[in-house]
Amino acid sequence: MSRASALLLLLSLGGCAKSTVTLLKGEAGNPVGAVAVIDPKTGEDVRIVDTAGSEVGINGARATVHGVNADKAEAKYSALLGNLPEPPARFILYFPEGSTQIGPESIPTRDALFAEVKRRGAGVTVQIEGHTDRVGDADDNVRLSKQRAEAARDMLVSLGLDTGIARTVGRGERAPVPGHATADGVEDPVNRRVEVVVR
Amino acid sequence: MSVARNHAVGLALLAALLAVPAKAEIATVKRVTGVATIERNKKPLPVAAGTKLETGDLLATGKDGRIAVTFIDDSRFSVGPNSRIHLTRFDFDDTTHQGKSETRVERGALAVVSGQIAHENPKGMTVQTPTSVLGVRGTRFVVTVK
Repeated sequence: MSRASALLLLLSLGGCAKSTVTLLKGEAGNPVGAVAVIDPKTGEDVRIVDTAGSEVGINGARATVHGVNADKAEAKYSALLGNLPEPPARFILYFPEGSTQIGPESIPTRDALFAEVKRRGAGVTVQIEGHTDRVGDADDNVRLSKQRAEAARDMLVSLGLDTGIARTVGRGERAPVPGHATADGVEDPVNRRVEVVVR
Repeated sequence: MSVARNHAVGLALLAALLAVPAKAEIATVKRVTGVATIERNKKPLPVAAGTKLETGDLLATGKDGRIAVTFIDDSRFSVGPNSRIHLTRFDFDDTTHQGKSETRVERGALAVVSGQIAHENPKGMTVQTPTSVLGVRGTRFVVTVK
């Protein structure tokens, strides 16, 4: 390569935006994940970055590892990471069969949920998710779980929850409580529940 | 034109207005510091804790600006100073948790904690920069564009 063309190449690279990705440790002791560098032309993975602290420069399909140090990476981006929103908090409410009021065992959970909404303050949102067990048709259970979520929303609104920050979701029978994944058609009251996600 | 006819035209207009689909909420702003705006349809809008975001919104910060955002799939963003972050696509089925999330970091810095979309589908979430495409296979990372 001539000196002139080498200089041109340097200048053209210098004019380009420089992109980096830095993979960090999982949050709160969760395992580290991974990021794939994808070739924009083919859509294929060209590199999998899966070591915490890896800082990788990327230009199209070219990935260059600049360094691997999990603690240093954490420190370098502490202000940015410190401004991440808090993780969502989950609360599980149980309703006696045929009732739109929570059972007495769920009252402390309901109180904890209201305390969390208040603590998070401005910008807080509440997602009310209905779930069923595996008795009955899966599609009917989606409808039933949505109705369960709406009944729970109305109950929480009557207790002072702001409707403007609440949304309802029906997840049907697809997300059983851990340890309660039953065969189809099996009754399981633990799975007939409403989960409230405070974000 | 009769009053009844006028009324009918008015109702038709109202129906046409109502038929314009409202864009679905995809995320909520949790915190804003310094100079920050949202650009929606190329117009700047004020942004504060509680502002609901839509697909196509662009988050823009000044030299001391920061924005924190939580999406409806539980993914979370922290936008650093001097940044332009474009929410190019976000489809999420909240019953099945299947979806697609595409974000473009035009410049600046973005910290990400991934959510249900990436959890359900390793090809569901991507982050692009002017020179790259990243596939999000899980959890916590930072993307910068200088």
